[in-house]
Amino acid sequence: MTARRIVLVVAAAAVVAGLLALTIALSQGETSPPPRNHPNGPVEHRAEPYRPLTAPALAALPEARYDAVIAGLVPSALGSADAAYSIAADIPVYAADRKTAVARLAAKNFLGEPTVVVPVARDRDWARVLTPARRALPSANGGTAPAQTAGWIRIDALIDPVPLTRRIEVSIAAQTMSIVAGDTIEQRFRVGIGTPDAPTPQHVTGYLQARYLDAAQNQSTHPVQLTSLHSSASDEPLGGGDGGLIGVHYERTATGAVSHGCIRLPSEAIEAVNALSLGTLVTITS
Amino acid sequence: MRASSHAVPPPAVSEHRHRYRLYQVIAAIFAMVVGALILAQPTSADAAMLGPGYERHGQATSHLGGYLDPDGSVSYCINAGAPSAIGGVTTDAGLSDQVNGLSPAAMLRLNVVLSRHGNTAENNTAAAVAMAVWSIAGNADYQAEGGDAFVLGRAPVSERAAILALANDFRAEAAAYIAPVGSAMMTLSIDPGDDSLGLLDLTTTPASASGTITLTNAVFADSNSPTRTGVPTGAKLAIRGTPPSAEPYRVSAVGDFTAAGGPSANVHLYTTPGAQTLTASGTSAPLVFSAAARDEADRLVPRLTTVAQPTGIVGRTVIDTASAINVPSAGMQLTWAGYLQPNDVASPTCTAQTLVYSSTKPLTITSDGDYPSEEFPVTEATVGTIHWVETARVRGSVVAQGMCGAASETSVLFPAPPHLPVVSG
Repeated sequence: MTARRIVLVVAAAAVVAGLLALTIALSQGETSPPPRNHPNGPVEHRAEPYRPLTAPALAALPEARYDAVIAGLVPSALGSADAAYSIAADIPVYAADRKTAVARLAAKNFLGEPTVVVPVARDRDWARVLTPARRALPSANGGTAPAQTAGWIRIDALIDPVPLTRRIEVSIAAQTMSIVAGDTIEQRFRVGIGTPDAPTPQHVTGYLQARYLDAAQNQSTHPVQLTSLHSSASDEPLGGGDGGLIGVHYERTATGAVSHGCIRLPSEAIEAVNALSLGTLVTITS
Repeated sequence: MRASSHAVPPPAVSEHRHRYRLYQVIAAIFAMVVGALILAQPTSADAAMLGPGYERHGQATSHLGGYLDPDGSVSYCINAGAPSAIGGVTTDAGLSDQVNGLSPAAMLRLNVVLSRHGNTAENNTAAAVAMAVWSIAGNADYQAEGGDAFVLGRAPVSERAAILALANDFRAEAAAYIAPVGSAMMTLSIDPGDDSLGLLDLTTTPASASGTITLTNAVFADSNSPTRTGVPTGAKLAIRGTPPSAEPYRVSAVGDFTAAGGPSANVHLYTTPGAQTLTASGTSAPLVFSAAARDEADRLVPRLTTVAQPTGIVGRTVIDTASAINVPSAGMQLTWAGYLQPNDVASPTCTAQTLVYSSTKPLTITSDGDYPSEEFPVTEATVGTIHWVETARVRGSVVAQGMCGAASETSVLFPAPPHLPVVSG
């Protein structure tokens, strides 16, 4: 190689390197600071302007309710949140790309009460919220499916924040349930969990989405605490068609591996849970 | 009038015919004069003139019959033997219920003769009336003067028997006369199939009577009025009860009736100074009488009470049940209406604007009992409080109706309850 040719190669390399450095620099400059409560890792920013859905398009979306299966939702594992919210009107829920509307969150839940919305991550104008729906049935997904789903919504849709000062932590191995405030375990109870054939899902965080009395489920004194979690191993461990829902509820037999996936509590424990705000996170670990 | 005091031979036949024509002329003139005097206002004082009847030898002082008074009426002497009023100034003295000290009964007999037969232009009748009046008004004087036999001498021989017979008839008629009395009987009957209906029957004496009937708690069915005028005897009038309240009631009726009456115990007097008093017919009194009737048993009023289904939910139905009592066996129609109001409204409004349920057709019932309405569907549009108003009608008329806002007549309708998710347990 001649000296002249060497100079030209070096110059070209320098230009390429400079362009590359500039690109990296610009790219780093656009990265937002990590949002609060983003245990699922840094999120990627989308700079494209948001275009609201038309009303018909919104109405055409499947409602992300407890018995829905919506493939576009994203799996959600462990998470944390500091507040729960309501929404004033039905809103779209987007997939991970925040461009594709895949579901609709209704302003009122099945009880006619305001739907509880729990964001577990924020990215400027967007919040990733846990949803009550499934994204797949275990039977159609190789025998297992995520117990919890999430999706993205516009953050300005969130209203009426309710601070979440406590969380529920369930240990499958210890068969206990704790009510935790910050780093402090305030109460701990022995509880009943799922049998090996109908296990309680693990390594996942859901939330209390509603509570109600239902004599048909022998729950006339202590309200059923319905979580957003679903069985990850069975479509319907108890039969029916409500989505293999994981509830936290009172049962006379409330210790051991005795349930179809639900967390069975003694009366003092269910009373403690009943005192917590809707939206309180329920984290189940092994 | 004083009778003749000297003997008079019987009149010749030609003379009799002549007088007869003369009397016919006089009768015609009398009729015209009477008509004219009726049309014209009579003077209060004028001379009386000879009227229908006979005179012996054409002498006005020996007249057997009537006199024409200034007002056109026909009057008769009541003072046998007193001077004749002819030629004097006769004055209308008006009505009097006392003449010659007669009793009321005699006054009545006197007026019976005068009012029934006195106003005549017929000679024999007038002569007979004169004889009857003399014998009633002053029989002692009349007999002292010679009575019937004497005064008949003033009449043609051929007429005397007829005149006497008439006079006797008139006297007998007057003696037998009994003042009429009116009466009425009204009865009210209740329709066996419907207490609100019935009949009113009227019978009157005399049958010519009619009157005005006024009902209480009822109206005449054909006019919807509680009063009817001109009701004749034999009437059978349909009535319809108008209950004053929801309590049992009775219908009553009062009637005031009139009929043509008879002579009163008075006469009309005409006085002439220095002469005897003339008398004409007195007044005639109409019969006025009343009657009343009342139901013999209570009429029962249909009543409704209801118990509404207290709650309902969307997707199901709701009914209102009416309890009906005193239902007429002839039939009664029930209908229901439901008015939607927000819950907890203190003063509900039951109007066409709030009507959400109404019977598609009336339910006809014929006996007491509990009757459910048709089943009304509960929809999202009827969520709230339904205020029921049930209505009972008989022949289209409302006989009982519920009250908007009554406590036991509301149904609270709720949205369908949500399906409660079943957890895995």
